[in-house]
This record gives sequence, structure tokens and C-alpha cells, in this order.
Amino acid sequence: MANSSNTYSERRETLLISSGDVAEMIRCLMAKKSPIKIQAGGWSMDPFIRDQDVLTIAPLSRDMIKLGEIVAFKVQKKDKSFRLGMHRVVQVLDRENYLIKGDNTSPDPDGIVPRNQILGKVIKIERNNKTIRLGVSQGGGRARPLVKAQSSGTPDNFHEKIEIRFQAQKIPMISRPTIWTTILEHFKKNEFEKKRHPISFDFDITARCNNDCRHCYINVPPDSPEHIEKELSLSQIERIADEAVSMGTLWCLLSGGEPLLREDFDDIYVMLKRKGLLLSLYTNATLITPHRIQLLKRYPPRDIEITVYGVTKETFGKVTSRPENFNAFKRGLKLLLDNNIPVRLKAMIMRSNIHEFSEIAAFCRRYTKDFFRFDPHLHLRYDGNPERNRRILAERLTPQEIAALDHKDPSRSASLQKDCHIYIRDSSNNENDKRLFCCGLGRNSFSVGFDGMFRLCPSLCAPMCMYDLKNGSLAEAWTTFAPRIMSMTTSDPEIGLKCHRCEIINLCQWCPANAHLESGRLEYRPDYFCEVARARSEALKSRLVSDSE
Amino acid sequence: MTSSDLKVIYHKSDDIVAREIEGELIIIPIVAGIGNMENELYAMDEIGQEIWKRLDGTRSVGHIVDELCVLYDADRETIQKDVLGFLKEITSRNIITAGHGQ
Repeated sequence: MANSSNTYSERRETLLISSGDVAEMIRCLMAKKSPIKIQAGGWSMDPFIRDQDVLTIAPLSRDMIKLGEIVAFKVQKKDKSFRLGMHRVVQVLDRENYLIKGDNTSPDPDGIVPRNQILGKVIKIERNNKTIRLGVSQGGGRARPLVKAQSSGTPDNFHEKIEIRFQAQKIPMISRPTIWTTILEHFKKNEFEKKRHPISFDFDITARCNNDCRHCYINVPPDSPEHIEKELSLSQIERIADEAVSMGTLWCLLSGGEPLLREDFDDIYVMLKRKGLLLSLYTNATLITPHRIQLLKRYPPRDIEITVYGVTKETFGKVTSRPENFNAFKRGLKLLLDNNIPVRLKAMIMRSNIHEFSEIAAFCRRYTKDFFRFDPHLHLRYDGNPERNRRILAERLTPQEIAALDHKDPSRSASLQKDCHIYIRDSSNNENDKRLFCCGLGRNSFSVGFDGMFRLCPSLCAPMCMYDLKNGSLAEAWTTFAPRIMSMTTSDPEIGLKCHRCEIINLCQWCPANAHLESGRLEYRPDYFCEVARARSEALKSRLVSDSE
Repeated sequence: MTSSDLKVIYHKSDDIVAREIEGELIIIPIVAGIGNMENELYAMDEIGQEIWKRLDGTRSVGHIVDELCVLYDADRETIQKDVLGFLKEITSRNIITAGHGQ
């Protein structure tokens, strides 16, 4: 009798492993979290990678894949089958999508490859048993664009947003790649997330403003001698900027008040630019003149944000108490747009302008390329002025009105629904009951007031949480003072057991800083915050139910 | 490539700031007109940083190539091609300008 197993073996067809199968095998191997070596075939990456070179492919980390890196990816061919590719990232579209091309292929790239089809990245190339240095062998010494102007955006902590607590990082209300994200991703190497690094700061260079908005938490009259006296001088601002730069700070948001009111604004602006800081600017646009346009064209800001209070003179005047500034606002905005200076329009929504919400939203969207951001949460005054606080309280919308606004805006509504598990979360997975601050406070940013007061967040105005930079150094504020604030604890069960464990805290305005503005106490739970969060949560739940039906 | 290319001394533009942040060298343009698009940032790879460090307004291109040949395990022709390619790239972005040769 013939040896049946041999016969069986001989009859069996050779298994053909397609390129797509190899891709799947790599995916499985990468799941084991260790690098593999594979021999390259073909010339599509010549001369950087040659036929028969041995490539080490490592699993992707959580970081963004960088421009210029070579990745192994799975791509669908025209005949619908898959193949394995190992080509270079030539454009980072966002965290999830990368444009990929072979160095030695036709001018056309392979196409946009989503991150979930990228299997790993090439970390080493060996030829004839010798490691080839990346760089020299490839026309090396490259200056690669790190951040491009087109992806204009502002650091997410500059935005009002729903802040995600009890997670590693803050996320913006509408999740999108910003330059800030790109920069953060860029520096997020190894231990960086655990490391504190002051990447950005807000600088309120004056509290004075030529508008007198009903909801404003900071403004004082434009010619207030008392406040002019308190403002930091140009040389004091320069000293703080020098320290910030030496600590590795990259980004500065100039705000106020109205920053353009300062007579030495141009000097401050150019000085900060020349130190290598990226600048964003918040302005009401009424003081934009042709002279200022020349300045902004010569020294471009990363972006400018302008709040639109109303699109009619009547509404604008009702909010700002300065109807006569409406034309100056329109003229300033037109000058910026006509000169292609990057502008983003946003809105504060309150009693005096809610009737115009749709028109304001449409106006902002028309002139803002990416997204429209609006905020119905009105802070109380930094200076606690009771008369002004009464005005702000009268401008606040009801919880139901705020909840309705969430769903009146399509992108906000979509974002809330998409991430509803974050906004309405499982309260049992919280271990931080004792810590007072549960946001990203003090990790990557800080704030400096017009009077030189250092704060870890623009709203954190409790005297014990501020450090006077006029009589001290930024280094001390950041390295010695800030950690003391960050490690503050709470023994108040209202905070530790209720707020911190609340399943809708990510829909709530509550934080110790806002609590302090409301009540003068860091540990306080204002009823209004709870009511707004509950209304938003109910609206979100009912929207999810109605959509699923 | 001519031998005169190697005699050129490059100068860094006054309109950029080079900053080292978290171990990375970042070129930050200050004014409009640096880079292909206005207001771009650049990060340099390891070799780029080695070349950049040597652009001190006194070393010629040839001098820089000599130093890199000591530093790296690659033939002179490759290194020279890479250095010139890099300098051409950042010159085209107005990050450096060619000065007079030695």
C-alpha cells in the first residue's frame, strides 16, 4: 500500500500567499507589540530602500505618524484585492488619514491611507548586513514642514469647549486636528505626556476695552487710569516672554480686554514674534486699521479670533453698549478678510442676542473656513463687581435654552451624539475623588493677567492660586508654585462624591475656578451649573432615542 | 555641482528663529515670505541639525562636508550631495542666504 500521507502531500497545491495575505500576517505580528524584520522586494523606494534590503517594521505607537516616515500599509487594488505597500508619508491630513507615496514611483501618490490600514513603520534599514543611517543615504539632511499654515487652528485650551475630565487629555467640543494637536502630537514622545511642559500661554495684556459688553467678565473702561497704572510695561512683558521662551513655550495668545487698545501693541507684538513665539490674537476688530494690516501682513499671526456679538447694529449695540462701534467692527473685519489674514469668527450667545442666533451662526460660518464655535456659558466677573455680575446673571440663558442650542447647531449636535459615551459616562470608573482639580490644569499651559498675575487657567482667580510675576519669576511659578495648586485636595463630599463622580460632569461647567467666580469658594456647587448639565443631558438622551427610532 | 559650490558660506536669515524644544530643532519664520507657504514651521532631522549647527557664517560648504565625513559612515560623494541638497532646499525657503566664498 502506498504511503497515503506522501501521496496526499504531493497532490496538494502549493499555497499562494498574496501580498494582501502578507499584509494581514504583518498585522497579526504587530499585534504582538514587537518589531519584525522583512526583506524588501522591488524598487519603488529606490534609492532609500533597495531590492533585498532588510527592513525592521515596528508597531505604531499612539503618536501621530510623522511626515516623511515610511510605513507598511494595506491598500486595495483596482481589482479589489489587497496588497502590501511600504512607502513614505508625504502629507499628514489629520491624525487618521495620511497621503502616501513611493519615492521612486510616478508623480501620483498611492492615495489617502487611513490609519487603521497602516500596519507599522519602518525604523531601520539594513543592506549587506550594515545598518544604513536614515538621512544620509536619502539625500539626507531634510527640513520638513512641521506645521502648515493651511491647517490653521488655535490651541484647544484657548476655546470654550466641553472639557473631558478624568481622562488623560482635554478634547475640543468639535474634534478636529488643530495645529495645537499637531504640535502636541509632535512632542508627545515617550514620557512626554507625563511630563509637564509649558507649551502655550494666554497673555491678557490689558483689561481695558472700547466696547462695554454686558456679559464680559474682565473689561474696564478704555481710559481707566487706575488700570493703565496696573498694566505690565513693555519691558516687564519682555522679561516674562524671555522666561517663557527659555522654558520651551511655543505659543502665545494675546488677549484682553481689547489688546489693540494698548498704545505699545505693535512693539509688544513684534517683540513676541521676534522671540520665536507663535501668536494668536483675540480682538473685537474695531481697531483694525490699514496700518495694523501692514503689521499683520509683515508678521503673520497664526490666527485671529473675533467674537460676533450681533449682525445688526441694534443687537451689536445691545450687547456691547456701543452701537457706534458696529461700523468699525465691520470695517475691521473686511480689512482682515480682504488681506487674507486668517480669521475665525465665534459667538457668545446670551439674552440680548439669542433672537439672532441663526443669523450670527450663518455669518460666522460664511467667513470662517473650519468650524463655528459658540458659547452660552457666561462667567461671572474676575473682579467680583456686584453690579456687573447682576447684569451677567440677567444675560444668562435658561438651562432649557442652552440645551436647545446644542441641537440647533448641526456640528455640535453631531459631535455630542458621536461621543455621547464621554458626555454621559459611567461614574464608577473614577479614582480621583480627593483631588480638587481634575482637568489638565498646569500640564501644558498657563495664563498671565494684565497685572502680571500668573494663573494656571485664565478663570482661576482665587488669590491663593495666583502668583505675582512682578515680584517673582516664571520659572518659580511654573516649577514650585504650580505643583502646589495642582495637588490641592478636597474634603468636601459635595465635590469629591457628587461632582467628581457625576456621570454628566463632562456636560457641566463646574470646576473649582468657575465655582470660585460664582461664590468666592473653590469648593462649591452652583445649582445653575447642575441644572444646565441636566438639561443638556436630557436633551442629548432624547435626541439619541428619537434618532434610533 | 562645481567646486565653487563648496566655497560658498551661507548665512542664517534674520527673519527666522531656530529654537530647540524637547530636543527638536524647530525653525520658526517671523515674517511673511519664509517657506513655500507663509508662516510654516520646520523641524530638521538629525543630519539637518548637524549641518545647521555648522552654518555659523564662517564655515564654507566644503568645510561642513569635511566635518560630516568624520561624523558619518558614508562616502564623501554621498555626503556632499546631501549637504548641497539640504542647503538648496532651505535656501529656496529663504531660511538661509548664500554669502561670498572664501
